[in-house]
Amino acid sequence: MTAPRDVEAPGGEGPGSPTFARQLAETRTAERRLVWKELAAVALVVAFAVARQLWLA
Amino acid sequence: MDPLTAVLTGLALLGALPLAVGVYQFALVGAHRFRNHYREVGDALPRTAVLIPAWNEGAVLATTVRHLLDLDYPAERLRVYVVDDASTDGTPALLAELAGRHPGRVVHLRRDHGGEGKAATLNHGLRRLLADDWMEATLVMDADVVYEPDALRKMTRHLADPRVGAVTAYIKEGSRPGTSINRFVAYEYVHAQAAARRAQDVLGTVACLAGGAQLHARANLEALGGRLVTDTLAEDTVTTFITQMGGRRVVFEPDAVAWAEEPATVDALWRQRLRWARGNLDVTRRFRHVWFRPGQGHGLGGVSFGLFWFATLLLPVFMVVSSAALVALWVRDFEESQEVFRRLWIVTALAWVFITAFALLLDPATARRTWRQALAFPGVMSLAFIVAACAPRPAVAVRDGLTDLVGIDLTSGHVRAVMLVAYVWVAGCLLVGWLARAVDRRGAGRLARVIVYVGGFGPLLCSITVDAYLKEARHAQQRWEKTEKSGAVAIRS
Repeated sequence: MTAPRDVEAPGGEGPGSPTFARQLAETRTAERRLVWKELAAVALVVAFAVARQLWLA
Repeated sequence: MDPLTAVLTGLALLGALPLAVGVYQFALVGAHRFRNHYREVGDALPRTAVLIPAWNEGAVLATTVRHLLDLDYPAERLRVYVVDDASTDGTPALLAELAGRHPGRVVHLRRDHGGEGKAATLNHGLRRLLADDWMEATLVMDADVVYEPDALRKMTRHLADPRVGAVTAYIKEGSRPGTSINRFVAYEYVHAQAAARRAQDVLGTVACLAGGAQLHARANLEALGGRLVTDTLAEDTVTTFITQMGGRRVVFEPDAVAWAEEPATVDALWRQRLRWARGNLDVTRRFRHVWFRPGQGHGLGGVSFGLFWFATLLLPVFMVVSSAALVALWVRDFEESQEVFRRLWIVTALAWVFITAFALLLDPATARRTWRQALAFPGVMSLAFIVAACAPRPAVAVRDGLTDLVGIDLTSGHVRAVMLVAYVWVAGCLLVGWLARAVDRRGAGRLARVIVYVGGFGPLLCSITVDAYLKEARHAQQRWEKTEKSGAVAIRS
């Protein structure tokens, strides 16, 4: 995971406060899952297309 | 194939173009894992003023303000300003009570002469907020929107990047218990927000800061002149465009969730979406020099962004053109028309499977609540076409079984007539939206919802877009019609 940028944030608790770090880690985990979800949807389309071809064959 | 048949075939297949753009949009969603703003975030907790325009919102405001005060955000850095737009219900008394109970944290701003619309109400509040230097960021929201406790903090982290002008959140439909229309909207928001705004974020250009969740950096508000545009029904979209044209970035934060109460009936949905659709037509005209002109220093002129925008705006046009071309083919070459129709629906089926599966996976909590509406989104009739195109043998068996049952001897004339009905349906389903609305307005809400299942929620939205075309063509009066709220919204996570 990429460390958050060390910025002068208005009112912040400083770079990497526990809440900020936890929330960012959770978000990144959710975003990582996007790729697998997309691949699952593509796999379903392929399965659908193959099933249709087999049915028609 | 003669040239005219080739042209008609192309026009008929054009009906699949918006779906192809939809597939492209969903395909970009996965890329959000790699192209996002999370490398630039920081632990920013700016002094934030929450700005709520309110006209007769007594039923919902107490819940909304309570959730805001319970946000996981430093209390001394958060103030709630409610601009009471000359309410005539219990709103002023409620706000006086809330302000008395939370001095300094809840502020009641009263307009004695209201009715000028949401943007004018917000501008009243913005003048107050910009008059001193306490406010570092402003969250513009609606009176019925309930934020999850961590939502604001997840939004403000993007303001650590000074290039960001505004951030928007993922609005979810949260009516409890809600009607099937609420659940259709909940599923639609997975498309329109969780998916579409992620895709826009990948392109670096967001189409609209949700009206219920617009977090603006102070610098952005100042650059906007300290006020929102008032002569439009789409002040949120216009603000989004002007922000980005000014070189400031707009970010979508999918992990910040806010819950809103959306229309529960066809008629209420129609009025809300008509306002949105007319607003979008206004935006299309207002920014006519922007579309499909890359290299202007912002992404609004990008080809992909333009495709996303116009595929939605012109969807009814594609449907009508496709339907008309199929009917013309039916006249010229019936066999060819059948083949084109089959191809159109196979493409539609593949796109529908991908988009629906991905949407359901994208937001599993919403999927559990709305999977029936997800399946019925195109309408039961269109689903029948999908099945017939993808599995012709079982479809023919069912057809033959039915005709045997009722004792009809199926002739080629019958088949031609049925196919003509199917071709007309590609655009004719738009009329079903009108029928559903007419039935709903006569008090038969349950029947109206059944009609939506048959005709499809997607086609219903297209019907509303057509109504917007007609009203714009007639220069019909634009009115700000408030969507009625009952206060039945709840965080569902």
